[in-house]
Amino acid sequence: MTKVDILQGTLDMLVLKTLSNDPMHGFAIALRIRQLTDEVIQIGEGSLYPALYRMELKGWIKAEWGVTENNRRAKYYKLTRTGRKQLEGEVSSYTRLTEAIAKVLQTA
Amino acid sequence: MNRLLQYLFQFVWRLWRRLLSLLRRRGHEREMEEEMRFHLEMQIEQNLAAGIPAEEARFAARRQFGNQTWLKEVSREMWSLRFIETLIQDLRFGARMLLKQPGFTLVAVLTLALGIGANTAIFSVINGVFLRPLPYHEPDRLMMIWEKLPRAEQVELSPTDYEEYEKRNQVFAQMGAAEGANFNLTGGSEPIHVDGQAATASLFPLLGVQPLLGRTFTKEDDDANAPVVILSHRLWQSHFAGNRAILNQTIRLNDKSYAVIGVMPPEFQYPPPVRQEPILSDLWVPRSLATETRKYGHILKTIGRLKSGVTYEQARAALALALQQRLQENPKEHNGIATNPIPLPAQVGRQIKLAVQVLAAAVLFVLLIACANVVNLLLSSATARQKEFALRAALGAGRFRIVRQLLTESVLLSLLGGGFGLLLAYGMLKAFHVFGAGQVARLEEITLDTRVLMFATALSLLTGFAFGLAPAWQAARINLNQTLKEGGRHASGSGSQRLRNLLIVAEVALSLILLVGAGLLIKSFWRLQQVDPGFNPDNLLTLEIQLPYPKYAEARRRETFQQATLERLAALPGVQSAAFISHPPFGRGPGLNDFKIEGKPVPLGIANARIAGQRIISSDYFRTMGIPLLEGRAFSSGDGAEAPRVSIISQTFATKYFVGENPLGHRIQMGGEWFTIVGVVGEVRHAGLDAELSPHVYFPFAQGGQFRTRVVIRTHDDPLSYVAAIRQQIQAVDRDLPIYAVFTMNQLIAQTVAQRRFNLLLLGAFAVVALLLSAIGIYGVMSYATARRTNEIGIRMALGASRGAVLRLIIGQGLRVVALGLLIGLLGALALTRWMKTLLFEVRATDPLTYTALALLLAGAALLACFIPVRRATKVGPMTALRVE
Repeated sequence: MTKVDILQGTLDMLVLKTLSNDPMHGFAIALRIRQLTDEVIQIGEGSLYPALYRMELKGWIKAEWGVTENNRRAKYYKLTRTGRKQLEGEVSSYTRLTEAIAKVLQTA
Repeated sequence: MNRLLQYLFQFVWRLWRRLLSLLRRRGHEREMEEEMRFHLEMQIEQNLAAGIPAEEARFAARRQFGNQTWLKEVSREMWSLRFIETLIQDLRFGARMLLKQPGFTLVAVLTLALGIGANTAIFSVINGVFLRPLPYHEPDRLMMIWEKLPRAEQVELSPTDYEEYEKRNQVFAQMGAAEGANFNLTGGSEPIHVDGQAATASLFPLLGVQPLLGRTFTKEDDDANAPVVILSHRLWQSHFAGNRAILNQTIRLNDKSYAVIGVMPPEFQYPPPVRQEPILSDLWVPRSLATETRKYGHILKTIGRLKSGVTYEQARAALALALQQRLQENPKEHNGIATNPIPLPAQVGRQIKLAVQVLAAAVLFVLLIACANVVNLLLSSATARQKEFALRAALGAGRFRIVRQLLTESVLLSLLGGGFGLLLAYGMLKAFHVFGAGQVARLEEITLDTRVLMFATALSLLTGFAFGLAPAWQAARINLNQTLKEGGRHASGSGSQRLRNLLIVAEVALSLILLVGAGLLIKSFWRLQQVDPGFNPDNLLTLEIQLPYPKYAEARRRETFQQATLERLAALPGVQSAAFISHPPFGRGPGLNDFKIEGKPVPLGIANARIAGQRIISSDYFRTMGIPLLEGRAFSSGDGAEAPRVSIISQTFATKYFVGENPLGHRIQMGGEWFTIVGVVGEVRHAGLDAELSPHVYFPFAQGGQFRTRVVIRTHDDPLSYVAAIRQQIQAVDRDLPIYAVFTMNQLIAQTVAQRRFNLLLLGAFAVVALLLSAIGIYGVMSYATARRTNEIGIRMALGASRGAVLRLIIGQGLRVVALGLLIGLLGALALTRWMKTLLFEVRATDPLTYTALALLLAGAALLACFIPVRRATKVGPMTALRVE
C-alpha cells in the first residue's frame, strides 16, 4: 500500500468521476477510490473534505443530507451539470497530458 | 470576451455563496462536525470488520483522521470570507473602545460633524444648481440665443432679430422664443396677478416636455378668436386646487376668456431657471395673442435645438455669419451688437458659480482643520494606548493588523461624525430655503437626495482614512521591549510633536485665509451700503398694477387713469407725492431698446451699440424719487397722448452720446417713433448698487403705451402702514385692479444685495468656525505639550526661574509655530483671494487693513489658547511638578 501524492486538480477529477454515476457520501468516495486503485491512492480526510467543499462552492457538485442503508444520516454529494462538463474537460486534458508524457518516456 | 464574462460570473457567484454561508456559519459548522463524526464512525466500523480489536480500531481511525481542529479550520476557510469576519471583529472592538472614551469620542464626532456637515450642505447646493439635469428633453442639445453688449452678455432678441435669425437658420432643428406677458386673473374672490410667457408655437415641441394634462400649442392656436392658455403646475395647484376638470374650461385673463388646453408637470419652467432672479412663469399663451406684444424691444428669450451632429462652435459661427449677412443686406439696421449663443448646460449664472466655488473651498478648509484637530486627538489617545498595542504585537499581531484596526476605529468615528453632519446639513438647507428664497436659482431643487447622501458617505469614509492613517501608522511603530518595560507611559517623542506642530501651522494658515476672505466680503458689503443710489430711498413705497388690455386700449383711458389715481394718492394724508414708473430702480429691469440719434450715425463695434433701457413715468416721478433735474424740464401734463413726443435722458446717456454739446432739442428714435429730448436728470443706479451706470431714457406715461406700471409713493413715515389706504384709493378708480408686489424701496434694495449678504454670512460663519476650531486645536496641543513638560517646568522653577520667564519660554515656542502658520496663511490669502475678485466691491483683494486686522485677531486668539494651559501648568508649585512621574 504505497501512498502516492497526487495533485489537487487530479484529485478533483477522481472525485468527480467517482460521482459520475451515483451520489455518494464522503467516506464512500474515499473507499471507492481505494478499492478501484488497489489501495494505491488513499485519500485522507484532510484532502477529501476540503476538496469536496471547494468543489461545492464552485458549483460542480451539490450536497444533500440523506440516509444510508444502515439508517444513519450522511451528507451525499451529487454531480451537477456544470460538474459533468468540468469532468469531461479535465479528463480530456489529463488524457492528452499522459499521452504526451508517455511519448517522452518511450524514447530511449 | 465570453470567457471573461464567464470568469466574472463565476467570481461573483462564488463570492455570493461565501457571503450567504457566512450568515449560516453556525449551521455549517454543525453539519461539518456531523459529517466528520459519520466518517470517523464508518472508519471504525471498517477497522472492526477487518478484525482489528475495538480500542485499536478507534485509535487507528482517529489517527488516520488527523488533526480535527486543523481540518475544521481549513474547511471553515472554505466557507467563510476571512476578510469580512475580521472586519466585523474590528468594528465591534472599535465601537467598544470609542464608548470607553466618551469625552474623546464626543469631541471628535462633533468636530467631524461640523466639517462633514458643512461640506454636505454645500455639495447639495452644487448638486441642485449645477448637477441636476434641466427639465427638458436632451438639454445639452439646446442653446439659448442671446445678443451681446459690452456690459451685458445676455440680451434678449427683438422680434425683428428673431425673424431674421430664423430666416437664415442653418444649424437649429427648431427655434422658439417667449416674452413676458402678465395678466390679471379675475373670476375668483379677488383678482390676482399672474406672471406668464407668450410663446411661439415651436417652443413646446422644441423643449420636448410632455404636458401633465391636455396638450401644448399647435399652429392652429394662433387664432385670436379662440385664445388658449397652458397652466403651470404651481398655479394649477394653488389657484385651481389641482382639479383635473379645469381642462377645456375657460378662465378670464385681462378681461378675456382663455380656454385651458393643458397643464405642465411640476418641474417644468420656461425661461430656464438659471438666472439670478428666477422669473417663475405660471402660464403660457401663444405669442400672437399676447396683449403686450411689442414690435420693438429686446424681449424674446430665445432657445434653439441643435440639429444632430452640429457642435456649439458651429452654431456660434453660423449665427455670427447670419448677423453679418443681415447687416450686409440692411446696413441701416446696424446697431453694434453681436450674437452670443450659450449652450443651456453652461447657462448657469457665472456669479453664482463663483460664489459657490468660494464656499466649496471654504468648507473644504473647515473640514481640513477639523481633521487636523481629530488627528491631534487621535495622537493623544494612541499614546495612552501604547501598552495595549505592545501587548497585541507580542501576541502576534502584525503591524498591518494593528493599523487596520485603528483605521477601522477612525472610519467608525468619521461615519458617526458624518451621521451627525447630515443632521447639520439638513438644518443648514432649511436655513438656505428660508434666507435664500428668490435669490438662488433652482432653490427648491436643493435637497438631500441620493447623490448627496452618497457624497456624505464617501466623504466620511475618505476623511476617516485621511486622518486615521498618520496616527495609526505612528501607533503601530512601537518598540516592544521598551514599551512593555516602562509600563507604557513614555510617549513617542519628537516625531509626534513635529506632526502636531505641522498640524497647527496648517490650521492657522487655513483659518487666516478664510478669515481674510470673509473680511474682504464684509468690507465690500459695507462699501456697497455707502453707495449713493441716485435718489432718496427712505419712506418710499412701491407697488405694481396691471392695466388690462381691452379696457385700457386707448391712450386716453390710460391718461385718465393716471391722473385720477395720482390725484387720489397724493391727496391721502401723510403722502408727500406719488408717481408712476414702468421699471423702478432695483426691480426687474426694462427690456433694452435699440435707438438712433438724429444726425449721429453709429460707429462700428459693440462698445458703441445704440441700446438703452427705457422707462415710462408720470410727471411727478423725479420729484417723488428725489432725482435731481440737471438740465431742461421734467414732464408735465402738457405732454399728453396727442402732444409732440418728448423724452428725458439720464446723465450717463448725455455724457456718452452728447460729449461737449447740449442734448436738449436733439431727437432720438426708439420703438419706431422720434422723440425730442427736453431734459437731463441725474443718474440712478437702476440695476443695483454695484452695477455700472448705463444710459436710460424716460418717456411720459401718456405717450408710452405702458400697461404695467409701478407706483411709487413717498410718505412721511413708515410706508407699509399706508398700504390698505392706497389699495382702497386705487380700487376706487377701478374695482377690478389688483395691486401686488408691494415693497418699500429699502426692501427692494435689500433684495438686490441679498445674495451678497447670504454669501457673506455663510463665509463669515465658516471663518468663525475655523477660528474656533483652530483655537481649540492650539489649546489642545499646548496642553499636551505642557503636560509632557511638567517635570521640566518644575526643574526650571526650582532652579529659580520666575513664573513669567517660564511662561514666556513655553508660550514663545508655541507662538513661533503660530507665527509660521500666519506667514503661510498670509501668502496663501494673497494668492487665493485674487480668485474671488469679482465678488468684491471697491476693495482690493490685497487690502492691507483687512489682512492686518484679521492676522492680529487670529494671533490674539492663538495667544489666548496658548496662554491658558501654560498658565495653569506653571501655577502648580515646583514641588508638585517635580513629583509627577
